[in-house]
Amino acid sequence: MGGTISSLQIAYSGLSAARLGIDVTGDNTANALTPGYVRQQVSTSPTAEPAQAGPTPSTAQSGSGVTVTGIGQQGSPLLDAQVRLADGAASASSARSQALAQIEATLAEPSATAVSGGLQSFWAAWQEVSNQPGDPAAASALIGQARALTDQIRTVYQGLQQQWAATYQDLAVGAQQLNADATGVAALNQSIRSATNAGGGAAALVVQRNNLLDQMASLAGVTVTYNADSTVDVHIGGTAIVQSTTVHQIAVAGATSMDGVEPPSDASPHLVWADLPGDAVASLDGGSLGGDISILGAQDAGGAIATTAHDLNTLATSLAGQVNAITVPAASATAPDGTAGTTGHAFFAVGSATAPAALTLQVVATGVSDIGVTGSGAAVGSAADQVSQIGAQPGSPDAAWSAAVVALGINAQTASQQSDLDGAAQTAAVNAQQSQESVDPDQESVNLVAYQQAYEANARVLSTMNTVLGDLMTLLQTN
Amino acid sequence: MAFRITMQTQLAQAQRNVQGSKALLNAAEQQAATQRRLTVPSDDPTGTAGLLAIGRELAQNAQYSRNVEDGQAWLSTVDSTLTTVTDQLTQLRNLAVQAGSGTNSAASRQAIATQMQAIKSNLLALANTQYLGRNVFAGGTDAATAFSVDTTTTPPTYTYNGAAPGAAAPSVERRISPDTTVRVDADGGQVFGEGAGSVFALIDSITSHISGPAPSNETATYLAAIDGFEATIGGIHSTVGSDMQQIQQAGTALQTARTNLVGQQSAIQDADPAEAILQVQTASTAYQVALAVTAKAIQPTLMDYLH
Repeated sequence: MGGTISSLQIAYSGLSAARLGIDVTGDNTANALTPGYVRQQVSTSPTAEPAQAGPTPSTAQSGSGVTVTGIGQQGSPLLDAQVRLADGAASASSARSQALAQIEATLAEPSATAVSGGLQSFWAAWQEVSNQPGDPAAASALIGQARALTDQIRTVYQGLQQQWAATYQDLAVGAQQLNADATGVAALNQSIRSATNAGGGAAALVVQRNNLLDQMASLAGVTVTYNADSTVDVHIGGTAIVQSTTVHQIAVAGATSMDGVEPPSDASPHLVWADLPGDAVASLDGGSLGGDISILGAQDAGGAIATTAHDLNTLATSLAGQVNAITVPAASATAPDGTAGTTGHAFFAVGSATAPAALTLQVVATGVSDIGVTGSGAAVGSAADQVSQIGAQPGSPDAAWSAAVVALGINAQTASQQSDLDGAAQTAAVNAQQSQESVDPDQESVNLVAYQQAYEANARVLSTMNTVLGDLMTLLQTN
Repeated sequence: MAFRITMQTQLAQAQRNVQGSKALLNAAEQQAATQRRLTVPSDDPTGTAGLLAIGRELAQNAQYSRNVEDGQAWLSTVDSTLTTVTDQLTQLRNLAVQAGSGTNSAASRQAIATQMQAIKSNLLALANTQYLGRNVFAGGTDAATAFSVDTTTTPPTYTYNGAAPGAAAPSVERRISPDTTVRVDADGGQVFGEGAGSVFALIDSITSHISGPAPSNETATYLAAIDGFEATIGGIHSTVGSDMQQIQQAGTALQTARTNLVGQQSAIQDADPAEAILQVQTASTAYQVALAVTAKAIQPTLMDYLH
């Protein structure tokens, strides 16, 4: 048997371990709703019995109490990495899906008030002119329909330009955010390394760093590697944006407006390393920035906005081309005063060196006297009838536009399904992470009861030792 | 892997369940309120392609229906005009027979000639019949009148303005389908003849002949000429009749097609009301169940039982 003092020490070690347990339980409960907080647990081990002195060990010995070996975080880098991966994918596909849904809303197809409906009314108006070739009222109605159609095309195109600008803004702000986060991670790396080297705990700092890492993953789908000195490296597409305490900042390069990404210039917006301009950030396809970049891309790179804008420009050009091809050689109707009709009247004008076709498309015909309606050698109105039939021909602007709308619908549907899938994967990953890392009040309650009872039991040991020692002292005094 | 369930995972799960049920309820309500199953192309891309094609066909159908109405008006104008023209020719024939009788005095021959000139004026007016400001016998030209008269010459000269002399006039057509047009006018040059061969020149030559002091009896020649015109007009009249029938049938066919197209459109884009309401009910029940279960599940913790 050891000395009486060592018995008191044993009881004290139990008391302090139980009290630390209550403290940690309290910390866990206090941070139950703190984002990124990882629950902690006290780990203990029995203190080894003291080595026996002397050549002949005689009596059996108890241990020397309990030692707190550490306060362990119940986090899992694997689960964290899975959440970040799922976050990156979900942010990207959600950005894509939302962008396509917004384009669909801008087009407002299929409806009578959208471009497809405008085209139908336009062709019908030509048929009316064919029936009433010299009638100023029919001509005015046609010009009115044509202006409504060009307005619709222009409005949709401007809606796309605004969406592009807003998305670009989002990209620029996101890139700044990513740089700020990277700087934050590097600074925390430094603090955590110092704290760990000094032998202290860095749990609070790690939580902060984890939150920043999660944000970076959601922005750019970054991957994180843990170093031996408690710091982390952060990579985008294989290149480090944070290397221990060093940061490589990124910048946005490429076109700054939607018209800038129209072929042939097609310099899609992309991210470059700020210290190595011209060196693009490779394979950035995750995160909301990756999503933004794929939306902002040029039409030949599959950028959703530019593709629809390109379809609108094609529509404007082919509409003007096909209508003018018939009206220019056709003669206008004879004036009421008998003046013969004249040829060479273009109905639409389109195109300029600086502006896209969809914005420059305009109606140049002003009235019955400059709308070509009569084909050579044929009846009055025959050319107008021919124009009205353009919409029903294969290769018509209508057919191309329908195909574009349907393609957009398929893309939006696919993107929405992909977004749902990625969302479900993200939910599952977060669920797995939370089930491992989050605080459960029930469990903490049980722990609290257990530590309380341990504390009481150790206190009991202490008071027993006190009584035993008291008895001994009384014995000595009476003798 | 059996997951550890904590308050947070439980709350998150409950929130997802409630949110999911709410989203379903919202979608169901949206569909029931708008009665539209397809509002954006991504709801049903294939259906969108169909809707756009149907929309185009419906717009064409509406236009062709208007064309049919317009064509019917043209053809009935031509039809009634030709009926009147035939009546006038019958009167002319009777007068020609009367003029051939040997018992006519110079005064009565003069009276007959005056009546014939009146018929000529009527025919000329009929030949220049217009529908909504356009000549129905001038073909597809912009001429102010189908026939013009030059009275400065003797006898007066009659010019057909619908086409170059001797050529057929371009016809006025109304489109009733993507590849069918129907002629809705009649060639004035054929109906009334051109220049010296016109019915007007014939009447002039008859009247100038019978107004003479002692005209020879040319009745047979004149009757043959008048009969010739009547036969031509009869032929054209029956063509007009069959055109009217064709355009009438086209109108009926367009109405049937329209009904079919509207049906197809509705089948693609409209929600079934009964199904929509049932979905709202189901989604609403699911939402309430999710709320009730959540309220029950998240309330108690071990704290409630430790005193």
